[in-house]
Amino acid sequence: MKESAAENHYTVLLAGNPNVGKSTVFNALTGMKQHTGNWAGKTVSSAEGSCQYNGCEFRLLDLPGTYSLEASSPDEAAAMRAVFSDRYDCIVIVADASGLERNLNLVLQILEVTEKAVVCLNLADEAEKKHIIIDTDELSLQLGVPVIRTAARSKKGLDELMRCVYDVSSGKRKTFRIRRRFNEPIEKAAELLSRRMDICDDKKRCRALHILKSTDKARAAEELGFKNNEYFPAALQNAGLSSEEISAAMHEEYVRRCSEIYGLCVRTDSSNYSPRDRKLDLILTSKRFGIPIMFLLFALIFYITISGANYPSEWLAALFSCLGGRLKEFFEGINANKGLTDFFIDGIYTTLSNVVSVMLPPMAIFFPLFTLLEDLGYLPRAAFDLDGIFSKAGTNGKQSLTMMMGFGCNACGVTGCRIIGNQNERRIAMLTNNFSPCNGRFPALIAIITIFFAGCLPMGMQSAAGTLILVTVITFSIAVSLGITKLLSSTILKTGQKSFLLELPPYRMPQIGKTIVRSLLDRTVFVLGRAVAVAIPAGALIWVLANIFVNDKALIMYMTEFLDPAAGWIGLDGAILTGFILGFPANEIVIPIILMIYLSGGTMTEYGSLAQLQEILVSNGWTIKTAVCAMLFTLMHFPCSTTCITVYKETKSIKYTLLSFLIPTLCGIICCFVANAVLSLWL
Amino acid sequence: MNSNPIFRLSELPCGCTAVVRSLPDNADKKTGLMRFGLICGTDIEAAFKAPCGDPCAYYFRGTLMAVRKKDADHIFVSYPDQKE
Repeated sequence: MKESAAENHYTVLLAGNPNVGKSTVFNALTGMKQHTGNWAGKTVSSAEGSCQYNGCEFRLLDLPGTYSLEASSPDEAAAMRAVFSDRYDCIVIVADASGLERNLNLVLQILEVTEKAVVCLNLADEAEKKHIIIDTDELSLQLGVPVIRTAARSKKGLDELMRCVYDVSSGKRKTFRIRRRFNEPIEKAAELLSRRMDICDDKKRCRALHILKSTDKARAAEELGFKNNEYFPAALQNAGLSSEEISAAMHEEYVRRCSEIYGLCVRTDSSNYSPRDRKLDLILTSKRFGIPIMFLLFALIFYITISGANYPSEWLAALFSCLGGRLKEFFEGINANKGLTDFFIDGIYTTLSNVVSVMLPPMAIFFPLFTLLEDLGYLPRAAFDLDGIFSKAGTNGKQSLTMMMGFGCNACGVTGCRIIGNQNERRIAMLTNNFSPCNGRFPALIAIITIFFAGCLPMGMQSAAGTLILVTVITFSIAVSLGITKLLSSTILKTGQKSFLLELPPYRMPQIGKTIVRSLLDRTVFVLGRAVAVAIPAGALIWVLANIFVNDKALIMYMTEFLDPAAGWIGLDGAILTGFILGFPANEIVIPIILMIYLSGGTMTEYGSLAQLQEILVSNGWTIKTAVCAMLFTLMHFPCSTTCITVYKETKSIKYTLLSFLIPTLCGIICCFVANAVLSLWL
Repeated sequence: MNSNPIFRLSELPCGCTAVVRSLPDNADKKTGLMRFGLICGTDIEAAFKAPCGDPCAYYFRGTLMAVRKKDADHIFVSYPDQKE
């Protein structure tokens, strides 16, 4: 199994069910020296880190949490490919000691593939509190590999775990693959399949069993790298079983084995569903309080994000403009070409710093808060509460979570769609994610609401009215999102009849410090990187358009005039539409570009105060009608380039990337056209 | 063998425990449930319902799992015998 370059370098995989503290084990072992990266060139990213033990270097890869190795979601497919690959020296299978029976299923599946493994019974402290007694020696005997008890949060048992990992990786400790026989027809089918495989004997049986267990056998074979799989039906026929019967029989066998091993190794006198969790669940999912509590929690998160992001944004903007001034001085000092200096500073640097200073703070606040709710175990309850609504639209409650992530950042929302197992439901969630206005669009929405709607009211009512209008706008976007979901799920992306199951894990106190670091690394930096990559060429383009003059008129003015008639139809003007188009890299720069055009400037312009913004907009012909249409178009237009790239990376399909672009744009055009026509009757 | 009447899992009142007697015929649905450890003979407790009544959370084999009514309609259960 070993393929390591050097004798004392080992690769270790971390696998396990979701919600078993796998990441905590990972962080505790690597001391958070991990970085996120796409592993093996696949779409699903797994964290990678390293640690040292006994003078050896261990490279640790944290696989996505999965319930089984069947490739029914991208996460599972990634875990499956990793386990079936030979590119590791040891797998640490992390299991929840307090819910061992269910966890054993994945353990047994992995041990069918490899004996180079160590089982880590995490959350041992929690299990102890629940009076669950596990005989680890017996369990180790039953599984053929070492079993180590850990409590990763308090760093207990980690040293012993690493010792076992070292022993297994280096071959010092012999582990066994226990061959459990299935009933005769299955063994026969496995035998027939194995014979057709052109690989070494050691690998045949587990692959044959894996294919037989899958409901979609052709796909499973393909995932394992078998191109010609026309012989599978024959193998099944000879064994005298239907494809469905075989999968069901094997699944049942696994559950029986888990139950048997669990019965042999575990003594307990209480239920894993604690009275405290019971009480919390009854409140958080109750008819009366369930939905209001959820609403309040998310409103609070948005409030903290929006109000808290202002200050760091200002600091960053000040820092960047100070740095920009210095850079300019430096270029002037070395007598650089004036045009070139302007191009780099006013063009590329300004766009880049604008994107970073506006995008970074809200994301750095929103996502850690969101991750805290996730770690608490609350998010699955929110999905549970809302599943009824989404099931009517043809998808499931998990989509509500991806929508909420979309409010933070659509690219993250699209990535978050991985939690949705069903392929078509996942695609729908990706295509509709852009209907959640992200942090980059919120400031524009709030500014327009304050200036054109709330601002007309007496002082005391302004903030209340503004909030109410914002809530209406968000409700509208959610309604459109649900409508489009329903439309897609009943037309081009029919959602199947697969059963929907959602685990509601026990509530846990989150580890605040680690959560913040991890979510910063996982989401914020990832998106920021992609945004920066597109901000640079966009900055160059915007500068060229605004500063290259043909017949005494900037190119951008030609563009504005060209778009003017079309924009008029949907209640906007050429400048606004140009702003949206050139703001493709990031929604944050839409308003600055519009202001740049209105003021005929050569660089993007930030507004100093709302009064100043109001003056510029009104003097350029903005009315209530323009405001309504601009708001609608902000809610519904093509996703930013980062989101488009993410959709492509997640779906690997140009078709869905195009759809994710076209659907919101068309909705926006239609809504703006209607709003413009209707409002023109009155105004 | 159990002789109590068989009824749909969706009809099991919250707070009550029953034993699974049969799973849906559909292969995908069946294996989907088995992946989480639900087979004939598993004890299952109806815990609580979502605000709008669907789905319902069930507790079995140490985990809490939400199942929709349309899926629970195809799982048949019966109350355990007194002796069991």
